[in-house]
Amino acid sequence: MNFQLHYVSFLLLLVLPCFVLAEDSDDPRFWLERMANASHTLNYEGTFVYLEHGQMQSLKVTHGVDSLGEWERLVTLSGELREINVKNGRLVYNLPNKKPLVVTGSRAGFSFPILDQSQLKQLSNFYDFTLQGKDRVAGLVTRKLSVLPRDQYRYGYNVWLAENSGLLLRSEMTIEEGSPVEQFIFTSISLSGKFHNKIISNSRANKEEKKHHLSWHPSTTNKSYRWAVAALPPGFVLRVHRRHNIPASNKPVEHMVFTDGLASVSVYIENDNKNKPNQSSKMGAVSIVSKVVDDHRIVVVGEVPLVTVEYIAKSVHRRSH
Amino acid sequence: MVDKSMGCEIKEQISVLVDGELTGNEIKPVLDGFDVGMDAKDSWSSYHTISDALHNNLPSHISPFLADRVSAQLANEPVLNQSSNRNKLLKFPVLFKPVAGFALAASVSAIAIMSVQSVGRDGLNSAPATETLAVSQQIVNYNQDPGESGATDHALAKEFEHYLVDHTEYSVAMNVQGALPYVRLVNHITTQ
Repeated sequence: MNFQLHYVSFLLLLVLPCFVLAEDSDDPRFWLERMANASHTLNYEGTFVYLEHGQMQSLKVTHGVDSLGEWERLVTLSGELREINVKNGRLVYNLPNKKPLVVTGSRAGFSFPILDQSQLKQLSNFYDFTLQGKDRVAGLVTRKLSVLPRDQYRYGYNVWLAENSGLLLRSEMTIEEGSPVEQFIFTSISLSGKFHNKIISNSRANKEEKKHHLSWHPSTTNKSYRWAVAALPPGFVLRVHRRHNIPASNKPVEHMVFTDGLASVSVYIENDNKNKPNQSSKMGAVSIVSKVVDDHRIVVVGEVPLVTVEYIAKSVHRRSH
Repeated sequence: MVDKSMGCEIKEQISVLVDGELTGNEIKPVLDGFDVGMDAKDSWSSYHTISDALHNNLPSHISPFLADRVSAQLANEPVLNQSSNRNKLLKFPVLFKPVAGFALAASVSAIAIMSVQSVGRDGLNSAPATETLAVSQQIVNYNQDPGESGATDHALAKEFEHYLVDHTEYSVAMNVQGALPYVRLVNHITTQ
């Protein structure tokens, strides 16, 4: 008995400094990695306010991890009820009086490894990371981390991470001048216990659904792809290249995904111009450019400044065979 | 019906609690009300948000004028005929102000959220003009060919929403910000 007590004490002595070190670390990349892991591995439920373009929305999120993987439920708390459920690769988007949109084959959170050390090092070429001290969000002590872009092709971030878990509790996505283009802040959060997974039972299973299946293929240089991007902003690399049908509309497209490790941009090439105009738009933090090249419609979309999607859209071209 | 009125009463009490106007003996029944269900907890969060807006405690960029707008709405609310309502006011001296305040603040908040959701919703586009003007448009069309100047925000949102749904899958997968890409989806997608 005495031996066991000593043994446990010894183990605690070994483990405790790790926790102390975790909360005391002044390495911004350590906190970024911790944040990436926490958002995928913790069980939590909370309400938060989402602000975009001067508009406000309050929502409730429940996130869990079980033997089958991650699941998540996101529901608006005010106004018209909107709900997104993700479980086992199945995303159900419910709107009142509308057909639910069901996307199967969803790989949310599972398709790419969470940031590893080499990716974090790579990010340092394009962002400056700074720990800004402590603050409180939703009653919890947080560490504030600033991620400032080194050029105009990406947004900056201010993030507040729960000191004891690394969970992201507040976030500001900022443009060049440092003013927020999108932000959210938890007003309450619970990390204790297991939350019930009501996801599938709550979706309106009997209702007619709009179904879409996503198929996933690894990044490839397969020459059967007909389109390419000649010039990318620094740091962006091709991660996915595939052909598939767009959800709901079912239009066949060639699709490329580029990322710098934090931001991602999709390029869609659709064989259907129908005299569509060249357009560039913003939906909050999301920028979109649409143009016609060789009788194909090119759509570039991502959570990046407009200049980035325009830069990428300019060099989309058909491969020469 | 009884349950509904009890729910309203609890919400009213929560709103007063958020304003710090309950005394020791009055607090316990409200806290017990949290065991009734998630509605009470949601009300707690919502009222805190509204309270923060009223007290200018929300992040600065939300809308520097939100608190002013809420206050203005409160100021413009028809003044009650004090003589005819004197008895009621005397009966509910603590409850009256916050309940009225939150009812109004909630409507302002709801209008703001309706505006967020107005893209692609004809029914909601008829929100009061003064409030819909007070918030910025969801879709900002920066550059269009002259021939297509008639294209509406509604049309643009619908036109691009399929791409946004598809892109979100990759955004969620690669993005370290947890649920944020889905939040964007909730805000922007209308699903015809």
